[in-house]
Amino acid sequence: MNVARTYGNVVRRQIADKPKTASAMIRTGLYLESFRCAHFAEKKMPKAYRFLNSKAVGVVADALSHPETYAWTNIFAPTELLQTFGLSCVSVECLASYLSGFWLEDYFIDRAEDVGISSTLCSYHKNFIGAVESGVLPLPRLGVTTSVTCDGNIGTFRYMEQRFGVKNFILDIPQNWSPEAERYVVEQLRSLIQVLENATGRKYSEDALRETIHRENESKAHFSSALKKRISHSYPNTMTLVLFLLLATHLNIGSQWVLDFFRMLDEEIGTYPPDTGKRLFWVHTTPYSQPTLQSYLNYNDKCSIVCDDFNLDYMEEMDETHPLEALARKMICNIYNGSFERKAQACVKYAKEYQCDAAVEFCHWGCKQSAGGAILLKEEMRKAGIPMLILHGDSVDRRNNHDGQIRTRFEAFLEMLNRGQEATE
Amino acid sequence: MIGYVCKYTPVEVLRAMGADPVLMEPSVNDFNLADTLLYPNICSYVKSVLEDAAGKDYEGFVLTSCCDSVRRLYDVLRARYPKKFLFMLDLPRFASDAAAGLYAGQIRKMMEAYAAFSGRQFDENVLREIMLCNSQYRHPEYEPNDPNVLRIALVGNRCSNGLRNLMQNCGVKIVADLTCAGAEREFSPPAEGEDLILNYTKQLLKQMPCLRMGDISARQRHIDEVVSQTDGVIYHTVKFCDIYSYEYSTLHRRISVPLLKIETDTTPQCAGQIRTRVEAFLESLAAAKGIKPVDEKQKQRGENSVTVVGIDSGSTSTNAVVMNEKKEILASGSIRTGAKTSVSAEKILNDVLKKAGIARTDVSMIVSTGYGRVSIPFADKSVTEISCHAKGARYFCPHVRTILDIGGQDSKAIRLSETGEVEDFVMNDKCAAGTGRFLEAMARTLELDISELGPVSLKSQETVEISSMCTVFAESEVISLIAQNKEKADIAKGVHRAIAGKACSLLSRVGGEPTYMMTGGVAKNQGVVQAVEEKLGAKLFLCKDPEIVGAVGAALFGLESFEKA
Repeated sequence: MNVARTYGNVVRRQIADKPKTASAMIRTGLYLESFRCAHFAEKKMPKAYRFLNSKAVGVVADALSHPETYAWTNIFAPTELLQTFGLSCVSVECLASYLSGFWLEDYFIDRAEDVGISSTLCSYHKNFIGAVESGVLPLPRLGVTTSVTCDGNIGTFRYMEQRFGVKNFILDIPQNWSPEAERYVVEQLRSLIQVLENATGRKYSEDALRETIHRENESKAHFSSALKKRISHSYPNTMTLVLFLLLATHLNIGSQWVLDFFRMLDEEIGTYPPDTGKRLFWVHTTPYSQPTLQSYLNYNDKCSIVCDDFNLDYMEEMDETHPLEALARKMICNIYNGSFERKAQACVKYAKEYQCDAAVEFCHWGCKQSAGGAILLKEEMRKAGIPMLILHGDSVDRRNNHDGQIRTRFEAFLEMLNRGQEATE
Repeated sequence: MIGYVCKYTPVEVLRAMGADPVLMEPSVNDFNLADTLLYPNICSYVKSVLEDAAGKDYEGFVLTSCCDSVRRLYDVLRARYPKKFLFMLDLPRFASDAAAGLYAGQIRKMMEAYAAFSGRQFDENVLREIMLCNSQYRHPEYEPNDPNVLRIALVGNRCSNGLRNLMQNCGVKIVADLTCAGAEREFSPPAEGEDLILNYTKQLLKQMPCLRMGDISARQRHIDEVVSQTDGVIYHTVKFCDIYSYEYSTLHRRISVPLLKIETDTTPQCAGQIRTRVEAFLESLAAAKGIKPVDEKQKQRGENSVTVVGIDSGSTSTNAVVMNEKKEILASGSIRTGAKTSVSAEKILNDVLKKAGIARTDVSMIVSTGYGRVSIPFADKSVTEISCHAKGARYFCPHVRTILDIGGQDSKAIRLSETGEVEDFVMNDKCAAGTGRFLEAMARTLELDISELGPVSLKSQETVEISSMCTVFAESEVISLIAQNKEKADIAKGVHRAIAGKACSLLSRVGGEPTYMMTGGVAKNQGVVQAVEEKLGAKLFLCKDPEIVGAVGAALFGLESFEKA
């Protein structure tokens, strides 16, 4: 029996008439899951990931339970700044993934389409919009989004402002770095600070931001060190954990718990045996509920995701002495911003650096920026001698995947990789 | 010839450099190249631009970073045409002075790059002259409200001239064109004492904002003002461009005039569906305003009694009804549409006339409806199937308020007022999911005749889910279920539930309320009817021949012509 699905079905029955009850049940479910992860997690799950899993679910449950302390953001937003105002950041993608964890995405996606939202919009966004429309997601203190990639964010956040009065702040991020571009973003960050001061009643503390960025630098140093160790060590994970990692690398980066997690990760990886399986570099979102990919990638020592582009989108050390400039530079120079060449080069660099055997891009339904570059990325990978598989599907909507097609493609790709290995041996 | 796609492109600066900027508005037959180099699920407009770029001899392209799809278009063009002039302007989302300063810097870089590429130099006087000339443009005054003309606002994403022509051919007045590149470019004379490029850029950024911009409040105010002076709004979106659907959704709630959403993909193939939707919308507005259709061929009532024929030329079947002036059905019939619409229409006409014992010369009027309505040369007039189904449904069920029509190629939900006028309607998109074609494909896979599918499904014992939204995927799912030795009855029931899901979504979108009626050939499938009733939680009214409802409506429109005359 699938517990999440059964629980989700009970929640589903409440949505139409008692959305607040459904909302409370979702929060309770998240707390129970957080507790389960902390105390009764799968034995295969490494210690650091148990900690991550429990925290990732717990912080979102807390945010939903105290909506006055949370903000909707996109994953590229300057969450470090929001944290210093006591706001916890939850992204559209994150909330949509959690709702999908309860098997409720079909209900919410249909709801969004029913109110006129385009069926070809990214299903993370449709799922999120449907949940807010249904009254299941509590409204936050405010929304902060950026123009970095993803057309959906500005539209969705603005829709929430117009429809539900959720104050929205848009950061316009130029495509390329220049001193003028950085100044342009810093000025916007200063305006955002005023908005945050008004919204929370707190004063901006540059020292607090410096400390946050300091912890962020330390966290990323541990992350880089851990990935270097991962070259010679296996480290079991799942697609869900790759997703949860985004809460550490983006939404909560700079917090103490994230620093604790990366320290733990750095210490633990070296204790695992050598990696003898196929090592994959993952591009874009992970379809964590897709059965075939689950069977091949979750806790599999023959094949695993070593790292992915999202979690490595900005790994530079940030200048703590100029925190706003550092945040501006981070958003402008993100590999997801600007020309696709920047992202393609970064993907090739990381895939080589962390000795991945192959790359897989999952073209998620509705994501034009990622899918539109898939052919170009494959060509860059080919030039670098890294085979790449392009899969098509939906990371959120289970109805929008075809297991048979994914299975055939993925298995054929693995056969191809294994034959290549046999040939070189 | 330099292709551009966005209204924030500094077109006037390019002209002042001697270039020939052309707004790319292609209509293409296929996306073969774009699907290979880009991705199938990318904005259709952007895909058509890539096809166009390959087919014409452009000197180069100037793009803006306006959306994800265009950004990827730039990447692909750069890789494919390294020798052409290609420049991507990083377009800010705000029109502040700081943003204008940045964008002016981008425009200067473009000027340098184009000068280096072409050897042409910027002539400041030409730009001043263009701005001066544009500043003399005046918006046409809104014309006084003519009670006999429909006033429509066209809003949304960029659309082809085909849509504008279609509206104008229907005799409507487009009082405002607020589509992406439809607005006139307006400039004030250059401000003295300010850098010309910076002044130009500030003005360029202050155009009526499109949906990708950060602050769209001016747009909302303008739309509200314009819309209040119209009879209806047609909201246009492009397939796989999602950013305009947000505005549609909020506009839908905000405005009180009727609103029709249509989606096109820049191919001529979708013209049929668009025509039906636009014409049906205009028919309902005209009826509400009391305007007679302009193409109505009035016939004077002669000595003889009146006999009319309604022909519904659908994608799968062609149905016809012969009706006398007492609104009695004298004969009806149905045949497969086959490969040529006019041939099947001629055949069914002869069949029903023979059945009714009436000579062709005694027919007072022939009214066509359905997809093929415009391809029947002998029809005296044509009316969309939306209006015909509404009228036909009321004929069989006077209390009907919501109609679900599932035909071979499309499915639609129509909401009627208490007096039987069309209040709103929605149709499925180009995809065949949830239509008669979908059922045919599933029946074939199950090795059943289409007529057997319904009765077989009623014997279902086990619940089987067909989860996919796509006909092709659903067919694969059915094959997988067959491989798992699932019972045909259970699979058939699953297929019907999938159709019911789609149908109820349409009914919900149209704001349906009882009494519900189901029309179209699929209404003969008891399995679908039962599944829809279960999902809807309400009974469906069915008539004996659900596939002739549209033809009956067409015949009734024919009779009305005589009543009016």
